[in-house]
Amino acid sequence: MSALLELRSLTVELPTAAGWVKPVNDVSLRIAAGETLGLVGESGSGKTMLSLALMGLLPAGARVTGEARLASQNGSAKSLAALSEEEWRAVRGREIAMIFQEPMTSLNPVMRVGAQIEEAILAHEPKLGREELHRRLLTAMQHAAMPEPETRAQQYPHQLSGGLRQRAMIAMALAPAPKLLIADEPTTALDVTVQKQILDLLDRLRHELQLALLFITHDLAVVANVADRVAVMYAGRIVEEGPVQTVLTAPLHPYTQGLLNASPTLERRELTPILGTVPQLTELPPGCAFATRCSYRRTECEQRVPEFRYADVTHGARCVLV
Amino acid sequence: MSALLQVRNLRKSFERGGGVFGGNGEAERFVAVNDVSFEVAAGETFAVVGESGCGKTTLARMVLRLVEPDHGVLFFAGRDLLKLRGEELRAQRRQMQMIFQDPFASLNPRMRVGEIVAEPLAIHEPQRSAAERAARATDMLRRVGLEEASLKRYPHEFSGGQRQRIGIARALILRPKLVVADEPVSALDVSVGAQVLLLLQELQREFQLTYLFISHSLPVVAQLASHIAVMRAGKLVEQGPASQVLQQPSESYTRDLLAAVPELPTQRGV
Repeated sequence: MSALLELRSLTVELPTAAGWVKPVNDVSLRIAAGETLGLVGESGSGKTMLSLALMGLLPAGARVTGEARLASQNGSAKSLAALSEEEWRAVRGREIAMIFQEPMTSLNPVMRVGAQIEEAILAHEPKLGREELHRRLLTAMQHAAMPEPETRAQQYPHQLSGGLRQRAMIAMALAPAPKLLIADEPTTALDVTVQKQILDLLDRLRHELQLALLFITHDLAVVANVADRVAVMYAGRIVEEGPVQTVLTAPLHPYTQGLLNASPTLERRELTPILGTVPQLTELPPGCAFATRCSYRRTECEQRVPEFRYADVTHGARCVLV
Repeated sequence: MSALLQVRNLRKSFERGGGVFGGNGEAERFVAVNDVSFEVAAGETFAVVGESGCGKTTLARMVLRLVEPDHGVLFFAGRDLLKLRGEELRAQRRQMQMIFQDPFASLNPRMRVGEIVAEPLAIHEPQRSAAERAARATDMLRRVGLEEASLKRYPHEFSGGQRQRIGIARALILRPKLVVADEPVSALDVSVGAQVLLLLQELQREFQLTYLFISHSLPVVAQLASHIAVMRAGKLVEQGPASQVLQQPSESYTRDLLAAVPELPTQRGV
């Protein structure tokens, strides 16, 4: 399967008072069309900064090295890191779209939902006629499975439930027919029954539209239900990657194991928290960033960052245990 | 086993609309909590689960008498809470404390942690000296896993998990009987949330606490509840021992909630 998006040693550096930090550090990943890659990490892991890099929305002063290549229709690939702001405008929203955790803060509260979706379509195809635009609006809302689209289009965001608002965001994101959809904690603010509907919807859409879906979350159980493969991020680096069932049933990295042991499930069990806290990016040790919290720590872990090693063709981790 | 808290037919309604855009004359009221009854035994963890807007937070606030019910009966340790006024109510309140969801919003950013944790003492036991209060605060902070040096620092210097520990220390310094915990781990990362859940369990054993635990998360509730009540649109649709509600739910709504919870695959271990 050829990759739609391929990252090779992508690194994002940001200036801080304490010097340059790397919220995204040497990240290599690929996503194929029609595939869902789950990106798991806790706060401060760099998962959101990675998605902003893929949208060309990094804060001013950020430095990007490494490669991020997006496949084009004609078989060639576009290097995202080399795009000018002008060129980003043709990619952002059009080829790569994003939905966020809190749809209420992403929607304009004083604009009807239908008009907002039309705006997203017109941004990339300004010459569409009125009828064609309306047809596209209804298609987008049907994709997002919004009931009574004609009525909903006339409503304002506050008149919609949380689930419908997220559907409106999905309709807006998918209206320009992007190839890659980045979903950043899209269901975290939703009730569990609504979450299930949105997860099912995203899963159906990526198959129907052959979307590549980058699904960012802190919740391993959500990832288990939505992703084909999962990448676990810690302090800016991918520490484990592989098929979702393999990673969650036979994790290689002690951090992944730790997250699993700390996740509440419907079955009561002895939860084991991960001791300590995530290190600050300004105070990263020379070796493995997880070493201070790791019960398998060896001397070598503190001396240098372990290489990413594969246990089999598809599953690997950045750990000396592999 | 005696009930520490008895709630009978509790109801709370709010005026619909209102505010600047309201006032179209409609007297229709929104019933947030509708005829809710339950009992919490001393030393247990009674969980109320429900989706957003079901009324669980309003219920918690009524139990603490932060919100006045329309009607109903509320007994705490054998006393009729709704009849208490003034000094009596104040004295009763120290027996009931709350832990909040958002560790960022619930601590005063201009107060040092030592003052935050000792403040309930200053209110309820003003006869104690400042040194005595500081000593109690230090003890309590240590008990929730924070160093003595934390006393002199401000909330912004702490992570979310540490702030939640500060909130817990403040809630427990008066040695209350009942602690109402409203989504205490929802804003925390998984690894930190597990630390806080374990801490709450340890403290319950050590101080013989009774928890009224409010949450939207069935997996979180499953870890520590002895009884579970499922709330929907202001009503408790089902309640019973945790294992029964989780494994043999009698209501279709409970079954729907359980079925929607994403589950982890069974692990084979490292």
